[in-house]
Amino acid sequence: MNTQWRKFISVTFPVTLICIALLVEVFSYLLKDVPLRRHDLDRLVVALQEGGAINSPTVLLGDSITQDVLKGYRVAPIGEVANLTTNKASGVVGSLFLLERYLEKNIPPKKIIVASTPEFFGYDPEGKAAEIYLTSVFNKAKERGWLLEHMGGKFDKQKVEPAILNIEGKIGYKILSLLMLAPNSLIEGEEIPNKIPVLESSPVHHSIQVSIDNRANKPLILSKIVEFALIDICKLTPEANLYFVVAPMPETTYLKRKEQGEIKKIKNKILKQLKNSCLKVDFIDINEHRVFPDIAMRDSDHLRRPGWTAEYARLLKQIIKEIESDYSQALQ
Amino acid sequence: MLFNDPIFLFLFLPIVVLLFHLIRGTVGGEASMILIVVASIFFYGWWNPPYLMLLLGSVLFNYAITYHLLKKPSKLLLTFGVLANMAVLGYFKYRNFFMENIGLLLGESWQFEEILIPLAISFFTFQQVALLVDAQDGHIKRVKFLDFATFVIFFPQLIAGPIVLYREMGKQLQLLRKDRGAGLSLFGLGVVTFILGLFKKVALADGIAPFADSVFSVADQLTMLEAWGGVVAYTLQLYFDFSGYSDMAVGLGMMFGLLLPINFNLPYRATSMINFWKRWHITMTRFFMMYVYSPISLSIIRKSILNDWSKQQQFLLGVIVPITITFLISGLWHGAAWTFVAFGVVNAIGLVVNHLWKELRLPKPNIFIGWLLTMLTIMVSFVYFRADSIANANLIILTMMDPASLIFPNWLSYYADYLGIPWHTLVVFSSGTYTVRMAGWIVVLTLLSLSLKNKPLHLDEIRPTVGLAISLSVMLWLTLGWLDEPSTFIYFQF
Repeated sequence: MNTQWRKFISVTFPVTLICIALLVEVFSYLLKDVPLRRHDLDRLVVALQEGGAINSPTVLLGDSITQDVLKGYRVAPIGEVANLTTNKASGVVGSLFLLERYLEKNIPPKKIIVASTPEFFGYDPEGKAAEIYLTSVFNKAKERGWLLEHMGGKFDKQKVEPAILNIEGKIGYKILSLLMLAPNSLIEGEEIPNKIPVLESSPVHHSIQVSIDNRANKPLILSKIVEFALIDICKLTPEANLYFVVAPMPETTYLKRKEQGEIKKIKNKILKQLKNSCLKVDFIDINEHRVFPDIAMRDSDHLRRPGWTAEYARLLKQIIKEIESDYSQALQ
Repeated sequence: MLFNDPIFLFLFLPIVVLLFHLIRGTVGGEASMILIVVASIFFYGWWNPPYLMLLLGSVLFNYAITYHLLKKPSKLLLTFGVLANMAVLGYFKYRNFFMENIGLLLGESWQFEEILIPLAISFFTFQQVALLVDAQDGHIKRVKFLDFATFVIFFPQLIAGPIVLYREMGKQLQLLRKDRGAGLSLFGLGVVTFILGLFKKVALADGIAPFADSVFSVADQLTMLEAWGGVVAYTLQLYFDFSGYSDMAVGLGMMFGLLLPINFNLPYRATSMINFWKRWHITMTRFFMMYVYSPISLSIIRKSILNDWSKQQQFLLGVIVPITITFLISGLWHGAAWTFVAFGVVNAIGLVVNHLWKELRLPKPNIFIGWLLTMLTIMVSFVYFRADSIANANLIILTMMDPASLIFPNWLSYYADYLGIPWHTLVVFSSGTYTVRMAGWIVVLTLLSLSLKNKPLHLDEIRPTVGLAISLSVMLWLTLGWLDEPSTFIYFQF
């Protein structure tokens, strides 16, 4: 090895390696307080943190089928409903943490509506999804404590790693966050869904039917972690009524689940688990009042736009309006 | 043990490199070569210790044959040696495939217990077969057992090549044994080449792999744009995966003072099929040219001269037949499946058309057209290479060509309505973010595949500057950051 290469291998290269690692560490330290804004959930957390109090009497939780609707449509007068819907990836645990953060600035609501697919109650975040949508979003001591208590050792402690080994997370996303405008209000759609929309009726791609069939074949379960999360939602808001709205399902999936008594079973399980923790719990199954044919879906879980999404928005608006009276009539 | 496995990177490699140079500097070259052999045995045995006996048995058997062929060339002994090697390879790799297909021909459905194919069996078998032929033909004069063993089981090239020839390694091994040769002089370049290869594999190939996988796993649910996206993504993944591995092998070789041949030379810049196969998996192509294509072609040409065949007959039998046979074998070499046979057939067709074009002296196409046709042929062949079955591969290719399957994703519905193209929520391009990321990977990797030169072809251009140190450091840190789950190399299965 000639002198130049000897110097390169023994001095220049190792020193450069260390210098770059240190530089990245310093940079990461400077950016440590910049909140992430990688996805809608991050932005929702930032909005709760940066925005003022809303004090809505109703909080709406739920997964992406409802979140999707709320992005485009206003389902209640301004300020009446706090939209804390997110996607399935953070699970019901994510909804619990969002509610907890909401309550840091707002007075407890009188009503909590969970409008979601029934599969939401059987889902526990894990792996990469849990890291991106749960542990890296909700990392306050109390939240980590909850995760540790109910989800085990994998959430044991804050992962300590040099910034150089996670440049994407500790530098990349933070710089992107700085380039974006900070959201300071919850997402609310503009359009008010009053009229019955024109519904899409053209056939769907065969791959969508395959994914709908696959969905129907997966059994519905109630996860233990979800049970804990739901109990804690009630404990956080002891004076609120809790309403579960079973979101639209493709007709074939719904009929299969109904035939097998799965929806009834999960409803009874939830009622049984929550009877000592919640003031009042009730269920509204939107599918009992409105059929959502398979062609209403743009994939196994979401409705086609704009027609079927608007239809769900219209029904949800009616439910929210009438929820404390006779909501079954509201759906006629 | 994989080259991108932390155990290899932080334990095995530093220890072996350190011991090698320490022993070389104190005890001598021969002792350091013994260390390489021992380390290589450990490296291979880490995967599946029982199959170590197969590797060692193969080395001893082939050395014995080589020894006798060098003493007295014998066609009978050579035939025996080659057939014995092929029998072992055939048993482990092709027995089930052939028996099941014979069963199908007879209308029977024979099911056989799956055989675990010994790692690298195609590589070490072919390397030794080449050595036997070279010994018979007099290209090799003398082989010491230590040189022979190092040549076959040298861990940087044992698992997935490059397929080296003894005639190019023998001299280097002799020098190494005699404590001369490159020694430490290549070490720095070896580190550079290895890090570049590691970066190609971990950051680039593994980065685009999920996008390719997502398409090939739902072959029956694709639309035209998704099929194209997946095929292009896999074409790039395969290149960066295998060329990354090859760079790492070459880099490791240099760390031990041995210069292994390169396997790639900017293959996606090729403007014809003939040109492509001079740039892609160069050592495999060389092997098949030397030991399969040329013998067949030469024997046919000899016959054609004796029998006074027409020019057309000469071309048909002297070019088309050898190409077809060579690429059928090359396809099967990659794996015992009809998909690999189809991969060979597509490439054979491409090459035959290319030769025919030249033979008929048709006008040379524009460089871009040539490049496009070459890449299309290659991509079609890679669909067979990657797909689970011929049916799935056909489905993907048909989707790529079927205008009726041009459906836009729902998040582009505005533009789709404007253009009058149907839209739906798609299985792969389900979200804009995912699709844009995939497109980004494709663009970046395409540019890199066309511009990033393959080392050490241009070693003389590398200078140990601060700029190089910064580039290497960034590449190494990015790689280490993504190293949490080492994935296997595509060519390890062969």
